[in-house]
Amino acid sequence: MENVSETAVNRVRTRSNLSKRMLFYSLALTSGVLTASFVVVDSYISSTVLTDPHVFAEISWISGLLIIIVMMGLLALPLRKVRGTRIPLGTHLDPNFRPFHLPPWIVLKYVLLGGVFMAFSVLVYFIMIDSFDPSSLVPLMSFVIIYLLIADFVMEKDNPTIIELQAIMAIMVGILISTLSGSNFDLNSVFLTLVLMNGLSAGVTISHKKATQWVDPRTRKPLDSITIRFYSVLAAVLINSIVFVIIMDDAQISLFKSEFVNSFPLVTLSMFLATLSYIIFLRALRMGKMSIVNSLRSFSVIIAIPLTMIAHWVYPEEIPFDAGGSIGTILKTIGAILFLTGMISLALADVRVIAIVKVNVEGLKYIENIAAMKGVTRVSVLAGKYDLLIIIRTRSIGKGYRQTIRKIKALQPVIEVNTITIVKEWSL
Amino acid sequence: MIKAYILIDVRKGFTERVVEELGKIDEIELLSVVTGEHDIIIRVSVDVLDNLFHLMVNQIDPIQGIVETVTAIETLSVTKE
Repeated sequence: MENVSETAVNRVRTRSNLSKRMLFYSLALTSGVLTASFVVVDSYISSTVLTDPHVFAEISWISGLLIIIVMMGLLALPLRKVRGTRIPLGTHLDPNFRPFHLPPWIVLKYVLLGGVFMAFSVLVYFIMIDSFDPSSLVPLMSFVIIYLLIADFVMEKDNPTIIELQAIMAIMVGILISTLSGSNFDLNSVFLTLVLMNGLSAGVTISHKKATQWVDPRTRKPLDSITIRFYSVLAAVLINSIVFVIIMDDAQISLFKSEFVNSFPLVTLSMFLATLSYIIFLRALRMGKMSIVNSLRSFSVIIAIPLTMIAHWVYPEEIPFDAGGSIGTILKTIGAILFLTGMISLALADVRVIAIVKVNVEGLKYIENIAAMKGVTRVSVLAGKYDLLIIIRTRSIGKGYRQTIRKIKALQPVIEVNTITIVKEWSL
Repeated sequence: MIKAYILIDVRKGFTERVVEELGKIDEIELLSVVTGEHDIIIRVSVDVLDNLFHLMVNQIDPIQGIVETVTAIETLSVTKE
């Protein structure tokens, strides 16, 4: 079957999708390049203009809020034409995009909570940026993946598969080799970054994941990612400003006043790169699987190495590159490749399962409940022989059964469930 | 825009040819080779119901190797990804 499918897909590819595929890979990789780039820019700002992390964080958030408002305004423009009707440009990135609206409290609370975590996580990032060169900090920032996987196992009360364990080990060891290969690192900073910054980042992801699971009962649409970003940044600005006002001293006020205008263009560049990275990530998500996008995006860990080397060559004083000599550089690269290998194995372990379901008349009331189940990515109500078609993304068929199919079967209106495993899939 | 799922049963040994032929149809937005009751599932997107009829009659049904199709029109969907 695999050979048959591979040959067929190659012919399908030649039809018209080469440019679409190229665009997809380019978008995901660009998002990774931008992530590595804004860390390099932040490193430069932190060592030249804004040496105080609290001041840096405050100016960054003010700039970030302005950028997201401008971007949201641009994305709200009805420049996209679909079947004769003009709709906001943002629907190109996220089909559920609704510009400048206030989501209900039931979901807004998770978005704002994510924003609070984001404020503290970014503050720790600005404190830590002086302790590492960008090529070490980028992999450290990715450690959050390990926490999220472990949180998943705990919440699901499920054992990890052997592929998941191997991937976790590769990611963990890769990050540590990449970071510790330098000759000059502070173990306390490594510990703070691993535990505090990544712990807070996990809080951001879990809160936002909770927000994305909500489905509007009226429109049957989830909250769009751009609105989630907008309200998170708003919450982060407020929290960061409150913290800044409470702890600021005369020196920080003076630095804020004197450097606000000077540093604003560079800080805006960094925040623009970060926001653009997110927007491009969303666009890539619209074209392909999340696991593949995440893997390609994690190329930032490898890209950060040459990027830091070039930046260090141009600005030797401002941007450090601590690889510990040529052996250290090789070790750093090996670590980055190991990390990437772990990410790719996680992506390849993804299995997609389709459940075709027959339900009684009460069944349609359960659509939101089914959509909220673990791994469910799409629920379609059908006319004809079957009533529902549910697409489930899982890391093994067994997990898909335990976490989702069994729960669907347990629903009272469900009459029959046919489970189908996708062996090969093409988005055309 | 009308979306429909078409569940296809394929004659043994014809999967490659059917996938290749289906890959040429512009209206297909997702094509999955699957295990279980059916062999291939496709999601199509058409402007009007009439186009779905023409798609079925003129483009999908004539493909050699397709034994049976079950068409299910999507009346509502909740998407999270």
